[in-house]
Amino acid sequence: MKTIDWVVLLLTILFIVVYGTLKTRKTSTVEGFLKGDNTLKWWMMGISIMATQASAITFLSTPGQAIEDGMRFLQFYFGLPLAMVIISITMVPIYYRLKVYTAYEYLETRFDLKTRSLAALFFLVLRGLSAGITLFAPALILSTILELPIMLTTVFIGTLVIVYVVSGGTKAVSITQRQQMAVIMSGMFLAGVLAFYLLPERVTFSDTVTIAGELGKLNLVNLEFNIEDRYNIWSGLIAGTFLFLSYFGTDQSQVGRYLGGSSVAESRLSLMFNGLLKIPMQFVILFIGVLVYVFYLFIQPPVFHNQVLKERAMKTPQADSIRYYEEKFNTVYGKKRAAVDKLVDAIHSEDDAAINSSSDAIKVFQEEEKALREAVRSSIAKAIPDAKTQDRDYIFLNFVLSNLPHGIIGLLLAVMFSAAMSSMAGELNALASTTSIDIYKRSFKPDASNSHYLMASRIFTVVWALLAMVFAMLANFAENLIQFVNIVGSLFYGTILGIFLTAFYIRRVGGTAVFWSAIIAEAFVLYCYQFTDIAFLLYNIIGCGIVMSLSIIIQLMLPKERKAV
Amino acid sequence: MSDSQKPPLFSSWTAWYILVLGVLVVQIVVYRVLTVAFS
Repeated sequence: MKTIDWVVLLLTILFIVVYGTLKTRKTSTVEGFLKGDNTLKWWMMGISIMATQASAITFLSTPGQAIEDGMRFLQFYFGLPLAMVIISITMVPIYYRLKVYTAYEYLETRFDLKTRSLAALFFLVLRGLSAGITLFAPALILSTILELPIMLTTVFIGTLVIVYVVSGGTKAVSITQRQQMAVIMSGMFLAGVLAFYLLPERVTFSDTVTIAGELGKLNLVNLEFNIEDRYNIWSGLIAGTFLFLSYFGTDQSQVGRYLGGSSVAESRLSLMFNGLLKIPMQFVILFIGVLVYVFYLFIQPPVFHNQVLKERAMKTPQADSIRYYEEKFNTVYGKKRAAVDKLVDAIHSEDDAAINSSSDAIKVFQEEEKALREAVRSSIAKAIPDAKTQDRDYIFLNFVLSNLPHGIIGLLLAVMFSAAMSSMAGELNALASTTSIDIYKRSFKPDASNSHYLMASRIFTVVWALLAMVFAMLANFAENLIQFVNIVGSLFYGTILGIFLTAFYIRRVGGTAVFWSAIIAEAFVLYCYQFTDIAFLLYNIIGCGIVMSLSIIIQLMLPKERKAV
Repeated sequence: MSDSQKPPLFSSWTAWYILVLGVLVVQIVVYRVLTVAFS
């Protein structure tokens, strides 16, 4: 990091924070704070929806996912357009008709207070955890680069978000997200272009794609049905639809974004915008990962991508062991590099037999490299027992820091921070809305003034931000970050969605039946997570299915208690 | 349908939904073709 990088990074972040704060400082009503006075246009909400979903984890972790596992993660998003259509048809008109602030208000109208409170509680737990993870990722970057305690970097980012979200609420979230998305898209596009231009001159774009395909990285669509496979077309279309129905239809961090519109049409259009653009956007991010993968075929990668952690380990008695494996890794890379050159020659001469033999050789060397990386990881774990040795989330960051020109490095770090701030801002706004409307106003202080609820919403924003900071400081995530976020979501979304679908489609079921079904379903999903190998996306179907079917059975056993909308 | 619910460009929301789902189908087909062509 040079001065120019710091200037670009700090100016970008501070401009967004100051602009968002000044532009929305006059927010003086709870309607303005939580719903943006219903003045947002469809494209503003569309950007806001995409920015809330795309956290720093998306941009840190997804390229690493493509490098190690290919592009098959794209299939995870296939259910999203389906969910957008279903939500536009069913949920949006109901939310507008009832003029709700939060999605959970509808559940009291349809069922009862305890069901509304239970769904709100599930959301608060799920989103509170996610906000912590959202903050953890960029805090980790800064702490790694500066070699500062993660506590300091967490507090820095958290405080920046608090400033503008507490000032302007939903409007501030939306306004800043537009600028943040502009920074994110331009930065990522530049990273992709540079990753390609840094390749040797004789390697064309067509060669790059062919190499990636030959080495199994263009595994975009897998038609095989396998219940234990996390990403195939069926898990994406079926389980993914359930997950996104729940996320966009019942998660206040998203519902809050499109409830800020001036009409049903504006909200629907914002969802269509997301349905059309989300998959191409993920494709681009994954493809950037593939470009970085090809780049590291021609330029030697480090044996371990978290350089700071490795340097710490090198100061321990494990240094000799790490050095030994690193030398072996360098030797294997040398052989692999020769095989890569042969592959390029074979592609240029269109010699299929040579292409296949070179690809096979590269795959063998990659396996050897993988084993050596694992050995280095074990040595680092022995050297620093409490360290996080999973370095997939560092691959893209390491590529940026080691290979891109100064100035662009600052811009790419601004991308990570912008993404983290935009996502966290949406989450904090939703956590504050749900706490103040569904819990505080409904169950503790129903008759206070508008200004009282505005102040309460601001206080809850700060409280949730502080909780997210504490969680980020204490957390130690074993999984790859983006998967961890999706696993946490899948633990609760199925149950929440089941409550909402029961509300919409099974009109004979009442509050007590759905309440107990939801508790049983959640217990079962948590059991599946702890004791089975079922792919996490399926938790969404399991939770939803149990709530819907069990609530019918329990309802049949109960005396009639239905409250019509 | 009230004015606040009318879609732009098309006469009904159904056309929008068909567009979104049609684009999804096209993308899946293109991605599958890419997968097979480069595997």
